[in-house]
Amino acid sequence: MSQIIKKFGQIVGSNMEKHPKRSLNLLRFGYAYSGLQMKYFPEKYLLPNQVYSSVVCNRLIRYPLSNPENSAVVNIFFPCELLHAAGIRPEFVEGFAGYLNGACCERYFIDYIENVGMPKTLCSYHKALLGAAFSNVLPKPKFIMFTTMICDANIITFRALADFWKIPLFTVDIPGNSSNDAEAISYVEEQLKQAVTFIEENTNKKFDYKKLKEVIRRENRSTMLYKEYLKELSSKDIPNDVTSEMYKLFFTHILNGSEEAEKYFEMLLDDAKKIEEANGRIRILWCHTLPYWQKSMKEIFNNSEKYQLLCSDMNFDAIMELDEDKPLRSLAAKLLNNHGLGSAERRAGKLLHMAKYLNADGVIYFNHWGCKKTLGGSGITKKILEENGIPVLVLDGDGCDRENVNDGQMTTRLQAFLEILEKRK
Amino acid sequence: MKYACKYTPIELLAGFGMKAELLNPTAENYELSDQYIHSNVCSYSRSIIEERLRDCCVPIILTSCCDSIERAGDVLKTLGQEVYILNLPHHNDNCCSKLLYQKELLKLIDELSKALNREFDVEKFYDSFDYGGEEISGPYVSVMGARINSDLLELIKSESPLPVKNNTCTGIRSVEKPPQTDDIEELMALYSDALLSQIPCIRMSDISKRRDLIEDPNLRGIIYNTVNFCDFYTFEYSKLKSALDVPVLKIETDYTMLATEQIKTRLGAFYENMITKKIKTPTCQTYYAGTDTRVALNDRSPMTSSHIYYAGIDTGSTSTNAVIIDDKKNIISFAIVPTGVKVAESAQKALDEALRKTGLEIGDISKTVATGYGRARIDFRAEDVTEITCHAKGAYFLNPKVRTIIDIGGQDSKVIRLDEKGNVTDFVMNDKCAAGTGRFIEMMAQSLQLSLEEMSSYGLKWDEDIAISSMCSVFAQSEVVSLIASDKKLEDIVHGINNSIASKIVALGRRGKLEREFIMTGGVARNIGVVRAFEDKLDAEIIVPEEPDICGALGAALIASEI
Repeated sequence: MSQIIKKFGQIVGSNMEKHPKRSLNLLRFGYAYSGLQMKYFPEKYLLPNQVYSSVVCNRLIRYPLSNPENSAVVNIFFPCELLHAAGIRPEFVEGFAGYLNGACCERYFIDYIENVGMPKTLCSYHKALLGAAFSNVLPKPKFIMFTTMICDANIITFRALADFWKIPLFTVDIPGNSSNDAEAISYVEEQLKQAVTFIEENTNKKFDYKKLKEVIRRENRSTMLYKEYLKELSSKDIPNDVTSEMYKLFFTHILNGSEEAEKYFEMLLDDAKKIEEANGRIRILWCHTLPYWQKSMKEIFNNSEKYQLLCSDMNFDAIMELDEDKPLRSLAAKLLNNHGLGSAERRAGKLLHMAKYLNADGVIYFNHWGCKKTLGGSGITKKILEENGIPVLVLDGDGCDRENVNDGQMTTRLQAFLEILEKRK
Repeated sequence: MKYACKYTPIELLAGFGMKAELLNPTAENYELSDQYIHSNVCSYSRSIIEERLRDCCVPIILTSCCDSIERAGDVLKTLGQEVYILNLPHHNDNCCSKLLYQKELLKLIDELSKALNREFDVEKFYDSFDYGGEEISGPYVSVMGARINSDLLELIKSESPLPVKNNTCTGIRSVEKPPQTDDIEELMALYSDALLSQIPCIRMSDISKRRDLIEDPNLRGIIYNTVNFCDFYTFEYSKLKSALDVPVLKIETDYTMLATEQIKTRLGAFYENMITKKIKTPTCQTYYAGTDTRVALNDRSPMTSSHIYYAGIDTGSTSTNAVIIDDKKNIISFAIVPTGVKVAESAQKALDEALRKTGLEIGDISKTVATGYGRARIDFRAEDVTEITCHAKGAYFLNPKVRTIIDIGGQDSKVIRLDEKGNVTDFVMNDKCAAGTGRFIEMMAQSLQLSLEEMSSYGLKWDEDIAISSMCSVFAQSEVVSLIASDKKLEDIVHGINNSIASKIVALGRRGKLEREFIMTGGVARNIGVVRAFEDKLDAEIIVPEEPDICGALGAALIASEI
């Protein structure tokens, strides 16, 4: 980590309580600067799609800092297709918290919110965002919309934020264990109808279903491109890095259906097609978010000649074609189709399927601090995958809080696992 | 069948002739469950798995009430146990969710009919609603928050001066009997409505009805229970604490009874405070009136002609301290001795030592009050009082401007807040962790090969601001070792250690809520480096008594003179 960024983070943190506006301006400036750097002086090893994704994500994160009145805070699993159609920009927990980490100031915000009374055991992404809001650094958005799925922290965080900011909150409840159940689809569809009314009421604009149709069409085209890309990936070593894999989450979730996402998936496939066949790297499938900020992790995976970081399972958690004539119903079905919902076996089953499809040599199951669903499913997943011949490393860490990690221990465990995989190959 | 959540349709189970019992085990340890589920999920979920693996007999029914319980259900299913998991909606305020839960109930009837080869008996269903609970009228203490194991609830009840209501998530199950109908679909729609209309648990989307739990004139105090790694309730506690007039105590357990002694201390102080607030407040003012500020202890201890003496004994983990005062509240003598294996003997030794200095005899002491962890084991005590109340008395006596006490002892640390009358308004203690305690400094001193005196002075001579980031003392020790290896100056490392202690304790006490004047007590207050680190963190001067160790014993002696 560069000393300059560390110093920058310290200044943001030290101004947080007494001069939150100053901290916000510093963040705006810092992110604008890093955006230019990504655009004009990217790391040399990055593929065109990776440079593009970093620039788009930077723009997405910066927008609500200057245009909060046209932004909505959401969770990563919210169907943002509705917001794209309404012209509202989403601002999501993991993305913004990740950016605070990028500015080396996440700990100040986490400390702040722990002092306010949030539990230490809560997910660090959520704590960082809450800290930024409660310290008045993060400007108040127009409203909040979220789904209850996969992560209990959503309920805690968004309720607290709506209460603090005094802004409207909309909850979409997603039942956990009923993916193919028509009742459950109707239940979610009904709520999405209410969500549309909520957006109309809070924007004073009639919701444009034609625009939603366009969004859905774009998403379907993107899905086709992405499926093709995954097919390419199954037989090739395509350079990847921990940060780009995290950025991919923006496109497979928050931005899906947008023009930026369609362009991204086009570039992703284009870059993949230009690459020749696999050259024998150790192929790693990742489960959950990635600790992209950790130097040791970057050193192992970024621009590696030895290891192929294939994909995070969150980047294929709900690949599904949508019905443009029944947009809300098919969005409801897509939400329920997410493999993170329901039992641990369901997620393990999808991991196993994709590990085989992508010819993975092993799976790294990342136990991000505070994510009870992931932590609770680690034993079952390891067992299921290993019974099917896929070695698994359960790696405890923190995707956002650099002070909550024992880096040396993590690296040793990871390297030992990679050594085992090398021997097997 | 055993159930875990209050939204479980236990009356429906009764319709099949099944008796539902709350699944609420106290774990002794997590040896078995640790093999199947990560230790950073909620402790209750782990305790279910632990119990089931030790003594599995009846089937269980869970709801998708939280991530940890869902995963516990998954684990038990993979272990071949009979587990039903019901989809519980988050919405408790709309018809769609009630419809969804109705379908879930109908599905359950169907499954149970097949599994038991038995019909659902509507009459038995209706009959099971008559569960008359114990009614409490008049003032009471409410236990709120997350589920609580029965051993802990019993402890709270047995120590409480008032009746205790269990208003925790599973403690307040109250489902209204649906109107009579023979149509099962209609009945389940009504029943679903009744289940979801209960006073909500915190994971539901509309929690406004939880107000009923606090808006009660008979409520005298709240013991807010949280379970380790259950994130749901902590924030409600923070909000209640700042909004309510009644005292609120937060306790957290890992569903074992391993922290019983510490919880007893907390409960004791809480109950004392609750009663003091109502009864003793007026007398405190006269008691402390006219005391001056920041004076050395010796100035307070002229030998007088008084013949009435009181003693206070504080048995801490590292030292046992005794203080003798006269009836004019002059400190006559004090002694500090190391705590030995037998607490009572150490207490006797400390008192003898204090008596020896004055030429008094044991018979001259009118009353003795004991405090500290070993307080209940001192036979010659007239009363025992928690160290929280005693520290407050002692510190306020030394300086009535004090509003915040930072007490760092050998094995625990506390932040105690006082009001202008010297009453405890709030306190926090560290958990079962050495970080931020005297033991932490000892461990670090060992790693640096410094004496405690050197630790104190080195902390003042630093140049570089080094952060010790590990929150765990074991990891912090390895971090210190790496700093030594990277040739960092010892003074800078010591400064980093001091800062880490100050950060931990200030965070514990919630920085925003700490008011001046500050006093630091306990053995660690002798470490000037740590005191400076606190002063920097708090941006305020800290009062350090000449004998910081004896504040608790002094408070105990003052209380002895009062009873």
